[in-house]
Amino acid sequence: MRLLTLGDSWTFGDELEDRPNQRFSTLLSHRLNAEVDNPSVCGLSNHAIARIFLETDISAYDLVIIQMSQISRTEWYDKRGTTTRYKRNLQKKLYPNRKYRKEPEIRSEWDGIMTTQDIYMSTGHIMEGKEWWMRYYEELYHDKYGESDEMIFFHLMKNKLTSMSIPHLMLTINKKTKMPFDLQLNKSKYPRAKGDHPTSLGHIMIASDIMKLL
Amino acid sequence: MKIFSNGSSFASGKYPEYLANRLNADLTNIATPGYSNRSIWRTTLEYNPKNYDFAVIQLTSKSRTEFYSDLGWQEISPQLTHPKLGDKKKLWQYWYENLYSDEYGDCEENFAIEGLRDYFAINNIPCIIVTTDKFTKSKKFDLNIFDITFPMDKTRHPTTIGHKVIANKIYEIANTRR
Repeated sequence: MRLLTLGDSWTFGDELEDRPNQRFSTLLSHRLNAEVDNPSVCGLSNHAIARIFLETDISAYDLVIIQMSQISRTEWYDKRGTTTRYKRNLQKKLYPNRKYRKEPEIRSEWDGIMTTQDIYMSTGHIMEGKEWWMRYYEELYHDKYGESDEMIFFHLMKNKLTSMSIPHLMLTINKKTKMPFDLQLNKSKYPRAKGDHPTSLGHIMIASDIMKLL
Repeated sequence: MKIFSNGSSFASGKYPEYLANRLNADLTNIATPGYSNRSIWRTTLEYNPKNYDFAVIQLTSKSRTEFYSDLGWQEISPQLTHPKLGDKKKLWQYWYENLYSDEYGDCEENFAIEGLRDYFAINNIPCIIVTTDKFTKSKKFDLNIFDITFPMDKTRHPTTIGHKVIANKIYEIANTRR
């Protein structure tokens, strides 16, 4: 049996001491006697999750678990490839005592945008003295847009899995969602670490709740 | 028989009606001039068409997009001619000049194609998806309208005869599916 789990830091297992063994995807793989692939990445937007979903050969899986993210996040394609290096230089200024790996390459890539810290909206595109993405959130973004992103990507992935007859579950961390998700992860019953991600016990409880749904 | 249609300015013209007439069908057409691929996909899901016998969707230039403001949904294209853009125009101009890329547009186009195909597939509604993006690289369309020859008016839209030519071509494709 092959299992795919795809989501953001919650499914990646951020803040776990022994991430590869403690995250809920691994716990599920043990209980289902399944091989698991977990290409989740911290900070992924619903746009990115849907893009990666379409890039993945999902016909290879017997069970797919999608965890959707916060609606305000997005991504853009950095064709010049300079943004990762730009962000690294900002990090160095903010946290000069940290150790940094080698300088990021200049290469075209998808770049995630989120509002939790200024650095996650910084791409080096300064318009009239301000990062364009900060202006996007101040002047263009509306929650109704984020909600519509969630709606179209929810249906995109769910309908694809349904049309291919692949068993699946749809999870979310968006507390205010109006979509019919199978499981809400952003609940107080799951113990949290300092950065608000589930603890190892939280992951055990999530895996247990997912098993009940299967 | 019932047909559902959505799209931008091309589908807002007469070809969906001509097609419905040829198929002796009732037509629901929610196409709107200026719609982006995202708008066409979103409004189709919001309309949630059920119990149709056939759907014809016309996608458009991949560079178009939309955003929501207190004025409602607003369509954006690189021409930035939307009358209600106001002070948002310079932000979108910056987007197209510095942040937008063909790769982003290709991704948005692919989302709309896949999202629409699967929506109609699970509702058992045969679907034809055409495009008016002359330069699309996607091989997933049933027809690129600019691959056929039809007369256009001064605004680069099909004339009455042009719409009939397009309807006839879609009718041919529909017949191969029946």
